[in-house]
Amino acid sequence: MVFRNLFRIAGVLAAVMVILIIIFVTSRGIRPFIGGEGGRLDLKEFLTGSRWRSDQGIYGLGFVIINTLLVSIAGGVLALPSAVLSAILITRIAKGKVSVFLTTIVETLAAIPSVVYGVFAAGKITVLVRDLGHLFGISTYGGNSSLAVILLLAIMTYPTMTTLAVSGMRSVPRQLDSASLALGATPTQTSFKVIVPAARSSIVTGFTLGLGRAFGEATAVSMIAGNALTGPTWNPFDITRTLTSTMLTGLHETTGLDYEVRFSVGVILMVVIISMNLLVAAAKKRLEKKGGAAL
Amino acid sequence: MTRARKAKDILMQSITWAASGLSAWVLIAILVFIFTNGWKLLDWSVLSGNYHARNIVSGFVKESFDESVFTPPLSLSAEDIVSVKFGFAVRDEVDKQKNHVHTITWVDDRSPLREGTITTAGAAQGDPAPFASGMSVNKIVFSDADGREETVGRLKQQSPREWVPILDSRAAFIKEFHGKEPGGGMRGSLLATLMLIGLSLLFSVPVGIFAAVYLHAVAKQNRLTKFIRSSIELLAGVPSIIFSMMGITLIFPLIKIFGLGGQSIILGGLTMAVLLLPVLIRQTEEALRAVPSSYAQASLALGATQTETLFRVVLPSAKNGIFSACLLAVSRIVGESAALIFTMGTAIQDFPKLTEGSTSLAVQIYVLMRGENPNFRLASAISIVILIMILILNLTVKIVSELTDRKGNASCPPRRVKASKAS
Amino acid sequence: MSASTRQSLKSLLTINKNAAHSVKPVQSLVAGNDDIAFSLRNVNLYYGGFQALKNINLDIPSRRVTAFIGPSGCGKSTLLRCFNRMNDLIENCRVEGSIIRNGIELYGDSVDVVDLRTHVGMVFQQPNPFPKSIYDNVAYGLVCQGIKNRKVLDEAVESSLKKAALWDEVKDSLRRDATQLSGGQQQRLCIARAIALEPDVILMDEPTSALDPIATARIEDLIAQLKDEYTIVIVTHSMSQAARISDKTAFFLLGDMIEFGPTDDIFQNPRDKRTEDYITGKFG
Repeated sequence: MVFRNLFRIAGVLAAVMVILIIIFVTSRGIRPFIGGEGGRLDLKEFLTGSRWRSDQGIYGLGFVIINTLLVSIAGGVLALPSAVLSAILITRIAKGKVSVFLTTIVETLAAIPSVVYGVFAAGKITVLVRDLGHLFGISTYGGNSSLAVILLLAIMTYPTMTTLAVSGMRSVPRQLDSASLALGATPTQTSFKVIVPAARSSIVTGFTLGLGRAFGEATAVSMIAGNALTGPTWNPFDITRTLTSTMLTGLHETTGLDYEVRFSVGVILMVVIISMNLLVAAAKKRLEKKGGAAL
Repeated sequence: MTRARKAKDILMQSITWAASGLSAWVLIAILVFIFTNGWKLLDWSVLSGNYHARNIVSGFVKESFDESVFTPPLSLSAEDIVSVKFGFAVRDEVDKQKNHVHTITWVDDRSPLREGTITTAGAAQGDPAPFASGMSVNKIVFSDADGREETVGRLKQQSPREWVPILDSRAAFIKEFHGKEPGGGMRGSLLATLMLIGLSLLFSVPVGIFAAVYLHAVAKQNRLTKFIRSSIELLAGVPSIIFSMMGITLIFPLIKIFGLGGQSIILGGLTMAVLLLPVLIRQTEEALRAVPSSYAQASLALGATQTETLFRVVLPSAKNGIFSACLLAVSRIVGESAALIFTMGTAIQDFPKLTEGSTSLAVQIYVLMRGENPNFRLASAISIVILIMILILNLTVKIVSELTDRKGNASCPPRRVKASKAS
Repeated sequence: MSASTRQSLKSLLTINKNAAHSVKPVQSLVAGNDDIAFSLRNVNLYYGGFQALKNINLDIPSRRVTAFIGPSGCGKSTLLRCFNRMNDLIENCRVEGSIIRNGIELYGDSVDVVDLRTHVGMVFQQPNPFPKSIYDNVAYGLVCQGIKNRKVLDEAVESSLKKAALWDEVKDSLRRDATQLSGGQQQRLCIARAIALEPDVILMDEPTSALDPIATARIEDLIAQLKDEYTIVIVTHSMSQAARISDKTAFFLLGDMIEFGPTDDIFQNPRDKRTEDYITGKFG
């Protein structure tokens, strides 16, 4: 009986953690707006502003939100086709050992920690972007740019999306496969026209998870974002600033508005991720109603 | 089939190969970059060395040294200036900060300089002073046969070619050796990472297993259970930087009650413990689910209580799966950075303490990469260490699962951490 | 592209194909084969080491319904899958002997399997519409062949659905998801989908086993209508169904074809004792 209660406590504890996180981070995050130590911020200014100058006490996060959405979605959209195509290759075209080998590549990419991606991004992706900029006669800040972040996020979201797409395609019933082949479709046509649409629910889930990772990715992004002071950044070769890179700047502060505002940015990050999830869930519902993947 | 159709087919197939080829290429590019930058640097001294360079002054108790002539090894080059009298060799080098240093390249095992003790005031006073390859020489104070004191070395603007012969010809015994231990090591972070792993697992494994047992065996199929499950799923989707914020806003005030203030490994460990819960619960539940219900029924039929059955039959049968869950948790800890930056801080410590802030290996990489001049070589060297650790952990998980499968034992074939459905 | 262009295109393709394949026609079997859709001689089929079909000799008549009956595992479905080479998908499946269709060896090297399957349609045991709209399901085979013309597709969809006796039920909801149809409607959709390719042959693998009696009756009616235009080979578990709808019946047992003949003869007057035992329900 004692243990039963212990088990229950552990289960409930794990479950309430997420609520506690939301409550505690939010309550800390709204402090700068109700006037705590170090001054008071205007919420409207904070949400819509296009300048982030902590040295001047200007905290306008609007452009940062737009930048974050921009780079994350661009990265995700870039990764999605590769992920779906790789999943087709892994589940449908490649056989035996080749398929296992390709799966191992995806798993390895998924296992690489984000700081290591960051080192690679700072050493290679930025150089690539810088050279690309030279090619077009655009000078960059050493390659630190929106484009570099997009490429990095594409690489980092690819394994998540591929894994989900693979499991989705694996669970498509075999009968659909036979039906398509019996109608004189080639195996390749079958993969693209039947298997991919039938697995779309998993593919969309993978896309959502990938986007979630992109929004929340902090250390690697902050190494190459360049932390622009104003924005939004429309030029891909220009430096950018994301919610997470903003949270990681000025780490040495441990008091005052500069420190407290970080929690407010964290709250916005949570809001962005939750709204994205809700949005995709709604889109998925419509998609299913329309296409009816009642699988 | 028309030719156009065949061509289109081949084209589509090629595109899938191209997409996967691209990912393979990216993986190879990452590994090549990390290894070419870090492999050369990575040796025992980097693994075990301090990060912060340390000035060392060692004194010698003995009034005179035994007269002997040391023979240098053949591997030394012409650049290495050898002191045959004291059994070491130095070389004029330029370090990472573009300073000239006189680096020791060889020390004989019997070199009298090895007998020095640290004389600078502090905790280490009286300890045997290190005198080894890799250290640099700032100056050496010696007495000649008549007891006259003289100083030679880099700080006297002498090159090794100048001061080593002076030392060999005039010194009767050495009074003081002023050297510098090179920094750029990762031992402190390595230790901090190990402590962090221990603490995180200590806090999260019991809760994780208990919660999994609750969901698997105790909970009824009702709304509470459904809520718990979806909350845990949600927790898995929270970005790690938010966990960092949680550490400060939620756990920090809690441990303050016990007198622990500020950033510390304990705070980091507790934060990681929460972050790991979804992984542990999911994997453990998977392992429990793989235990045939007939085992439990047999035990219950023999008159054991449910709790006894759980601890004596079900959990032992699932031990391989639970072990794998822990390994996956460890590999998550090793790679985590964002959740630790605020909770453990970014100050690299050579001698980490549980109650004080320090960096894990991953956070040390972050610190090295921050700022104007990122230290790619050391960051890559640490990346190699992290990658190897993760590789070993994942391989072990695979081997355990294969062994489990072969034995036909009831334990779970541990699955890799798979992204869960968040929506 | 109009309907007539499409027709001419198709005939062009057929001519090309014939040109490629008719270099060495198998004369003896081609002679007078207008009424024979498939001619099987000494067909053996192996799954690895296991022999699933033993020395089958059989002529499937054109524009008739031929039923394959027999207990589970007798090889009747396996044989059906030879006719459109769906067995190719099974890794270690090996076919020996000769199956001739239109004077061409079905398992010959020069046969284009994808092309063959557009001429030999198939309907499966479980209705398996794609999770797409009704329209897209019917048009699927044509779209795969590269036909993009909306008008051609519209016409094909309408005529196929009419032939499959589904048009009146779905004409106002062609954009509806096919998986929302009832089981019987789904199966007729699958038949329409096969018909859209204008095949000569429709293979049916227990097409009514997943359906209720009313839906089954509708499918059987449909088969009766279709047999004037198409060669139908149907595998069925129901002997009464075979008796009702087929012209000829073959009885299989453990990979052997025991008896083949006009349906009435098989059911009223079986020559083999085992056939009699089976149709009278002594085993099965």
